[in-house]
Order: sequence, then structure tokens, then C-alpha cells
Amino acid sequence: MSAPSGVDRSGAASASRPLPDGSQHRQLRQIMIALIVLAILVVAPTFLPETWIVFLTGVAIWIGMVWAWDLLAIAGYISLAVAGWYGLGAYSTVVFMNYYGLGFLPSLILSAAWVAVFSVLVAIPLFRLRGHYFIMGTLIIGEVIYLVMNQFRLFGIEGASLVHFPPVDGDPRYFNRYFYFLALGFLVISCFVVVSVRRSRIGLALRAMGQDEITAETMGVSTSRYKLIAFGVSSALLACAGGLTSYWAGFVQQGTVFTLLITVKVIVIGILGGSGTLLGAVVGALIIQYVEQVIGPTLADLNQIIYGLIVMVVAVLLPSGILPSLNRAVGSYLRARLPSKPVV
Amino acid sequence: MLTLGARLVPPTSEPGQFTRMIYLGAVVDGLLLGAMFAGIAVGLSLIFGIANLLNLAHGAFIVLGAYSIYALQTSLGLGLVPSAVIAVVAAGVLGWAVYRWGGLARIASGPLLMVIVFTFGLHLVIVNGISFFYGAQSRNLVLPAGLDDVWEVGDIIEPASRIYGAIGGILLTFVIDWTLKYTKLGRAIRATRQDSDMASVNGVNVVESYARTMGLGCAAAAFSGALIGLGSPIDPGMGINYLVISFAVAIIAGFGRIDAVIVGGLIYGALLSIMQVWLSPGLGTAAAFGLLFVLLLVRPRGLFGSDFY
Repeated sequence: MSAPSGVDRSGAASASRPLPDGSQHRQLRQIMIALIVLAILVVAPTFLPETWIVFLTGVAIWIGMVWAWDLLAIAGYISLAVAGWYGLGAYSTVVFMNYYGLGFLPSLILSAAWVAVFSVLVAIPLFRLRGHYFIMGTLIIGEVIYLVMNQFRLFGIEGASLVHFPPVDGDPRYFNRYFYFLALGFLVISCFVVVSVRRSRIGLALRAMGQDEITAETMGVSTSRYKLIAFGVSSALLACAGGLTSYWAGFVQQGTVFTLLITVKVIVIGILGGSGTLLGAVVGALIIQYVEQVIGPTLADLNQIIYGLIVMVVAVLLPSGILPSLNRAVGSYLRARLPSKPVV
Repeated sequence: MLTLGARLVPPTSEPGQFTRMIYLGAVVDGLLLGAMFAGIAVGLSLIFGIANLLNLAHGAFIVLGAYSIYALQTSLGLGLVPSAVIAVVAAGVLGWAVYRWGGLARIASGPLLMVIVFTFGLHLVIVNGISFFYGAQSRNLVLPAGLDDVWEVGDIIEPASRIYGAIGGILLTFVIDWTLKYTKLGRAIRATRQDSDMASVNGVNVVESYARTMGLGCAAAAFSGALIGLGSPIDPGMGINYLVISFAVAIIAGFGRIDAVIVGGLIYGALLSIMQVWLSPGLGTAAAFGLLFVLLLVRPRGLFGSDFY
């Protein structure tokens, strides 16, 4: 999708600079564009080939995860515990479905709720750490969750299959569409949640913290409360993504859902697209999923090598990500070409 | 994760004595492993303390060290010591080059996230590159005779490789500490850490100084990879485990405290070993991490942490 530069909701412009008449128009335009894109995505399965539908389902789930991770990253807190919340969500969804016979949606909501509560309990001490130490703390938490789950071997070493199948059997076309719309629903909900958090006081506070936490605290922002809210929302969304993915795969195994590679992929997508923007995650997820699909699952090692190289190149050459860099480049090009007209 | 395994202890008539022997063995095990952990962590702590750089590729350099030795041994038929020397030097040069020419110098002073992302990218490239060529299965280094001996002192039975590993870890820590304190390179590095502007005015090349710190840390990581290879099989996946262990040790000691790394390693090793025997290998590791987390909350800079080396 070719969106004008104004769609970027990174917010530095939209939140800190009050635009008396321009912002209203821009907001309206953004909502319109989002609705048009949504409409296209809803009718897309009628004309897209099957492989594309599966591809877009995966992309949608990853986009939601990156948005959830980014919610905390804009406050300057880099979490490496993504796989922990994702895996707990995946596991508990399967537990609720297999052992308590609940339907998919109730299981998903219950999982998201308890993971959110649990993660906030963990985060209360965790947020006493800052910078490097916070990152190490989250790495340790992710690792401990993995170790404990690996120890209990809830479903044995080879994992568990779902007992309850989605209410579409036989034709894989229905199966693909069922999960396409579930993923789309997840994407819309996470977009709504993330946007409303970022537009609210909380988002403002988080961005202020990202710039200078001590100053924000001195100015009376109750930083710890907002950080906890952001952490809880973020891990609830990640748990949803985990539950949805395990339902889609029909299968859950501790070795795959708790692995650090999930965390890595989320961060790679976030960095590649550009942290702090919503569209960045879309661009990043499309690129990474495409690269992964082209390389294929047979050469998993090569896959990771390419991840690593992409990440290193992006970190050195495009530290703000593809989309913001592109935005800047286009902006400066337009300014150079059209000096008299104001560029929105 | 690292497991210490069941110990072969002859059954005795007294249950209390049996338990005592198991825990005594666990403590000795843990202290020996802990001394090796100190060697594993010293490079990470050095790079963080001096260059203020969280090197997530530390585990990858450990794997790289071990696999370079394996490659040199299997393809060229070199002995353990010569191939270890080559591996350590090569890893040091690679670390130096990554900082100097690979772009790390450009982003080192920038946002935290970029350094982490960059070094994690490096980790992925190295580890998966190795597993691309050698596969994910575990390998054994060709070890000289005497390393698979078992030493027995009273009730304590220890494999010789673990004792050599411990000696190597302590030696490595002292060498790094000595380098920092008494050599010209070390003085330049410490001057840079203390006040980079002032060091620069006085003729120290600051970027070069940081690059050499990185090289020194990566060489130390490769050496500790060799120590790990003495006692256990090596595989590409061990990198992340040892990275986490290095974190643990460096956190206990306080990041950047090279002289305290030994204490951190011994504490962590003993703690881990006792917990693993008391609970179970997996849960014991988790419990050790839990205690570490508590420590991080009570003393975020570690037991001996300070702002400056």
C-alpha cells in the first residue's frame, strides 16, 4: 500500500505539536485510509490465491506482536521477555481448550487476562531496573519461564495437539479463511488498543519517559503506573498472538513457543520498519515474512543468518528504521524540489 | 542448560552421611564450575565495564572459540594448544575488526537498542553460520590423554577436565586483570574509560582503545569456549546458555569489576550446583536465576559493583 507520509502515527508531530485545524483533517484522513485498507483486506480473500492468504495471516499476527512490543519500546524499555508471554499465552490457551473444554475465544481471553496479571506482578519489581539492567532482567525472566515450563513438561517432550479443531473441516480453503479473519480481527483489536493507548495520557507519558524519564517523573508523571499498564497491555496482546498461533498450528510445544527466536523476530521487525511507528511494523513484517517464505523452512540456519545480517545492516545504516528514513528522504527531496509549497 | 548429573556415591548405612556427601560433592562441583564460569563471564564484564557496550554476541564468540579449535583439529590435525592459540587470536582480531570496521564504533555511543540489536545480529550470524557448516549436533574436541581421568580426594570425586577448566578460568581472569592494570594497553583502556576526552588529548586513540577492549573481551570468550570444550561436548546452541550464565556471574560481581568476577563465579556456581542437587537440574537453574533476580533488585549494581573499574 502506498501511503502518504502523513499516515505515520509515530506521534512526535501529532501529540506534542497542537495543530488547531490541520490535525483534525489529518486524523480524519488517517481513519479514512485505515478503513479503506480494512475494507480491502476484508474482501481480499475473494480474489487472492491461497498462499497469499496464509502469508497475510502470518503477517497480521506478527504485526500485532510488534505493536505490542513497541508500546513499551517507545518508553525506552526494551523487553527481551516477548517469547515468555507469547509462550504462556499459547500454552494456557491449549490447556483451557484441552483440559477444561472451553471454546477458543473464552480460552484466549482467559489466557490473555491471566498473563497480563502475571506479567504485571513480575513487572512491579522489574521496573526498578533501568537501561541495560532492565534488558538483562527481561532476558532472565524469559529464560526462567522457558526453564520452568521445560521442567514441568506439561505435554511431554513432543508437545500437544489440540483436541478441539476449528469449526471448519474438510476444505483447506475454509480453514485458511477462518484463520485469516481471526488474524485480521486480532490485528484490528490490537490496532485499536495500541492506538488508543498511545493517543491517551498513557501514550503521552510513555513518550515523555522515552525522552527523559527522570524529567518526566519530576514533572509529575506517575511513571511507574503507566509503565505497568503498558506492560500489562503489551503482554496480553502477546499472549493473544501466542494463543492464536497455537490454534492455527493445532499444536504447541515448549521448544518452539518459548524460544528466544520469537523475541528476536519481533525486535527485528520492529527495528527494520522503525520503532515508534505503526506502519513501520507493517513494512517490517511484510519484508521479514517474505524473506522467510522465499528461503523456506528447509534452510532454517540460513534464515537466521539473513536475519542477523539484515539487523546488523539496519542498525548501522538505518538506525531509525526503513520507514522513518524513507519518510525523511522523501520529505527532504520534496522540500528541495518544491521550496515554495509547504509539505505536509 | 548445564546439568551436573547424578553423582555416583557408594551407598552407606547412614542416611545423614549420604546426604552430607552429596551436598559436599555438589559444593565442590559448583566451586570448580564457578571458577570456570568466572572465565566465561570476564570478557562480557570487561566489554560492558570499559566500552559500556552490552555484547549479546558474547555467547557466539564462546561457540566460535570452541568450534575453531574443533575445525583446526579435524581439518589440519593440529594439537589442542596450538589450535587454541590460533582460535583465541582469531576471535580477538574478529572482535576488534567488528568494532573498528564492522560499524559498531558508529553506533556505540548511540541508542542502547541499536547496540543490542547489532550484537544480537552478530550472534545469529556466527552461531547459525557454524551450525550451517557443522550441523546442530554436539561434537567433542580431541583431548590429550589425562583429561578424562578422575581425581579422587576422600569422598570427593572430580573429573580432571573440570579441575583444568577451573584453573583455566582463574588464570584467564587474572591475565585480563593484570593486562588492565599493568600493561600499556590496559592503561590506555582504563584512561579511556575514566575520561575519554582527556585520554584523547593525551594521545590515546579512543576508538582504537575501545576496539582493543572489544578484541580482548572476544578473545577471552574464545578461550573460555576452549575451557568448556575440555569437559563437555560443544554445540552451537550452547552460546545462549553461556551468555545467560555470563550475565548471571557478571551481575553478581557487578558489571565491569574484573577482580570480583572470580567471587561472582564461585557464588553462582555453588548456588547453581546446590539448587540443582536439592531440586532438579531444570528447577534448580530456575531457582538460581530467581535468586539472581532478587539480588538484581536489592543491589542493581551487583555485590561489588561501582561506577568505575
